[in-house]
Amino acid sequence: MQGTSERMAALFLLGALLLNPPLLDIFDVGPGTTVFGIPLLYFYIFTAWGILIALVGLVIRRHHGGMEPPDRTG
Amino acid sequence: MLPGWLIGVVSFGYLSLLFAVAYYGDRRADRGRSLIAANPYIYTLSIAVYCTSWTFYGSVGRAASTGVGFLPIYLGPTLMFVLGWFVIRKIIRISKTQNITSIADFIASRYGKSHLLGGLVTVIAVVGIMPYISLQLKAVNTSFGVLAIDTGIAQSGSVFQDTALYVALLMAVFSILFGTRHIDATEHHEGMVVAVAFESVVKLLAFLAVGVFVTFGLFDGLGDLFGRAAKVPELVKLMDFDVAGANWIPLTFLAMMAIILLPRQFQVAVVENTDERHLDKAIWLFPLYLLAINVFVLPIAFGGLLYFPSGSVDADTFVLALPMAEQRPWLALFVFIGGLSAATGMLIVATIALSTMVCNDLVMPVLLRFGRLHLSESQDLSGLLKGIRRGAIILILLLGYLYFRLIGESYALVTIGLVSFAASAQFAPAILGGIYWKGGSRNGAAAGLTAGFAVWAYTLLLPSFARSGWLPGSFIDAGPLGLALLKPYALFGLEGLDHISHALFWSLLANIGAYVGLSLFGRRTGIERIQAMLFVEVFRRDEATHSLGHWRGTAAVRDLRNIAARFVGRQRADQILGRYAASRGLDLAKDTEADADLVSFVEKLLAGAIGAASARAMIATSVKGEGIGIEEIMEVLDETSQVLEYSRRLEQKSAELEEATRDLREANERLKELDRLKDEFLSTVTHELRTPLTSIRSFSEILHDNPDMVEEQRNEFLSIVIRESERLSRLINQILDLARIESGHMEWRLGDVDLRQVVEEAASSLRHMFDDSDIALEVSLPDSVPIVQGDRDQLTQVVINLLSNAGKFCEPKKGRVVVRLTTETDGLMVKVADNGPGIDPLDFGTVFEKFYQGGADGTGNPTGSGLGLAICRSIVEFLGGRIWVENAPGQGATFAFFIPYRGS
Repeated sequence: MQGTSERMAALFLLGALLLNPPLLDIFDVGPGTTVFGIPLLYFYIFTAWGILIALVGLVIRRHHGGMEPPDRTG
Repeated sequence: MLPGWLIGVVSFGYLSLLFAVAYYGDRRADRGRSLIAANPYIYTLSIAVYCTSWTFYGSVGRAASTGVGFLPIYLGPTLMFVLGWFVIRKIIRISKTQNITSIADFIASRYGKSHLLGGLVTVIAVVGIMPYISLQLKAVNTSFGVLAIDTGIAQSGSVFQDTALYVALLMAVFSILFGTRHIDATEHHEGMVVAVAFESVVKLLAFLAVGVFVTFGLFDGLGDLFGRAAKVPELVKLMDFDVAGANWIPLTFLAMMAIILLPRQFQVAVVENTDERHLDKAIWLFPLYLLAINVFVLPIAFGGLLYFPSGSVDADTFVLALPMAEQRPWLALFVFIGGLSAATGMLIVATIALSTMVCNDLVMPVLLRFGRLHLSESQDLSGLLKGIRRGAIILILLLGYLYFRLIGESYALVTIGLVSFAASAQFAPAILGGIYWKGGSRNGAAAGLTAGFAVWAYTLLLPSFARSGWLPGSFIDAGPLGLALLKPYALFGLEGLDHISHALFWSLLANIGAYVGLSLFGRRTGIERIQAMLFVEVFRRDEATHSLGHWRGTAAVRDLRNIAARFVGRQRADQILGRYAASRGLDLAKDTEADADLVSFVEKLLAGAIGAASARAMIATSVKGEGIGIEEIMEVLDETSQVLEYSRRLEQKSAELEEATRDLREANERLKELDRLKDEFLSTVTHELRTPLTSIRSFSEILHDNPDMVEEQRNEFLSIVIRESERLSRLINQILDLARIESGHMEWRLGDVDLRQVVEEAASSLRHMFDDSDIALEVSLPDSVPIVQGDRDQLTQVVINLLSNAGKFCEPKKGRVVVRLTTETDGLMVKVADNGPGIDPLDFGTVFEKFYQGGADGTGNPTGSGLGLAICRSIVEFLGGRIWVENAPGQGATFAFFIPYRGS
């Protein structure tokens, strides 16, 4: 099954998109806008980072939960 | 404040603990109860050696000047580990099949086991990492200075009071003890890995402790801290992305490369990996570690900037200075130990990795070249190897110390680290190109590495010398000899980038250009092509092809045994060869000539000890006749890969074909079954119609022929005729019903239905029949049920059918039928249970087919039209529900149907 490899590749692209400009520029609104008192930019980066890690963890878990044979695409 | 001696004792005690942990790890491994083999967490934590004192102290410093600008260094590795699913896994797999011992060995092996490349990579690594090593010493020194300032042991400048030197020496001892115990590098340095993992825990806890202290002790949580920072104009600037944005992408890229290409990262992530599956955990757990250790960087940076008036305290030391200024000496001491962990972990792994490279790829080739290791001398060389490595460890640490003394003072922590990152990025084209592109050649790799390294040295290393006063300052400002075009920070007039991005651009341009150019237009030798194939296609080859060596000639077993013994020790060599012989059923004592397999095996064994290039050179001295049939092996390999490809496609095709055949066969079966059912249907219908028809006709004839029959008998006959006619019309009605439902011409009267009433009605209309045959009918209904959508008459029909069906299968007198209505979460369920003979589970699927006869194969007593259940199914399914049958063994059958609240 190619599923896990494709999901990982997609997650990499997602991470590269979320954690780089221009998306970061959108959240660059200065200290005025805060979430729980934390400037939006900081809050966004750490949240996006955490979500990315969680998604990777889920994909791995699913990979082991499923019946997929070891990846051989290399 | 704490007395100086206490700091010294605690530090020394902590390092002793580290020795003990490493010793324990090694002992466990020796006894075959490895701590690492079954533990992906230790593997993950050992990779966290990435977080050095540069992270521990430097991140805060960088955050204090660029806001989020420190984050790319950790976001890059996160992204790389997502890609690690492909890239790191492939590098690990290759390294295991080739017995790779270091990054230099990897590159040398990939490009034809080249001594030249191994040496080149080693030189780049040593020169490139030296600033990084000195950075750790500097951090230890600075932090000790901060901690000791109030205690009176200020830096006197004397070498004997120099913390950095003591730490360097202690680390040399550690690396020697736990890094050079065995010479067979297939044995991992388990003690070292366990110690490094332990340090990763300590530094994380220390950093989190100071983070919590600053955020919740000094300030009233994150909101308070950021709120106060937002009132200071200088700090507001740090909350913009712009201060960090300019080199965000280059830094992310640099860190992505560094996380696998720094020699120490390659060591822990690839060489020390004991089980490929550990990577699956590390892929998300290591990024999580990075996230955790970075959460409090910004709060500490802002806290420090708010706490100390601008510029009075170096931001690199905030983590220490804040608890000290608040009179929390024990917390400060813990933080210091955390910083010490970060620094020593890096020192240990980096020196062990570098010493292996220096020994295998720099010193050994020279010794081989000058004939110092000739085969005729048969002394044990494993001692010599250990000696070389130990010497290299001491040398590297002393060089690092010297660098720190002479140059290190002129730079902030982060800049020094980035210089090393940029050096290790030079390995990227050779390695990534090498594992995905078969065309990469030795000359291309050598030229690329040289060009990239030269540009790196020119744009980063030399300017750092100039800044330290070793070169005139005009070298930076005006260019060498006043040539403005060659200014190292603005090469060829490229301005507007920061120094690191600038150097990265030019060095990688030169590197990739030379690598690709020479690879495309140069020629490759046979062994280069073989190695390229083995690396790039590592996932497509099985064990047999991996062991395919490039030796065709034979060698004397005795010679091979001697060579192996000289490098890994006599006892070990005998042990390993004995195991090999046993697994292949060979008798090495009898066989005097070694076959190609054995030669390759010994070569790989040697590669683990002295590197691929030297191993090849050693073996070449003992193989007779130079019988290397490169072309033939290439043919074999090419053929294998073609055959593999063909067979893969063939397999795919035949799998598709098989699936299509299976589908066809299933469809065919179904058709046959339907055909059979249709025939049966016709014959049953005719039969069922003919039976009442026959009796009607015969009784009518009797009545017709005997006009003076007695009144009583005539009435009896007439009532039979009437009953049979009713049966006939009921049958025809059912057939018509079914046909209408199935063809979609049924007229449904949909509306609100109270299933309670339906069941009650059906039960009461049949009660008479049940009473006649003396069968008990129990009705169990809840007090009220939700209304469902449906056709009331048809639902009543369903319940009547099920009840009469159940009644038919019960023995008179003993029979008992229970109908029960229950409320489910999303619909209502009606169950009709009898205590008859039950239904064969094999028939569960067909019982709802038309003209299924319950007794057809057993009692031979068709008791119904065989259409009732089929009609039930059509009705229930039309209303969006399900109908099924279940059996309790020996307790009769239970028919159930379910109607959802929201019908179709």
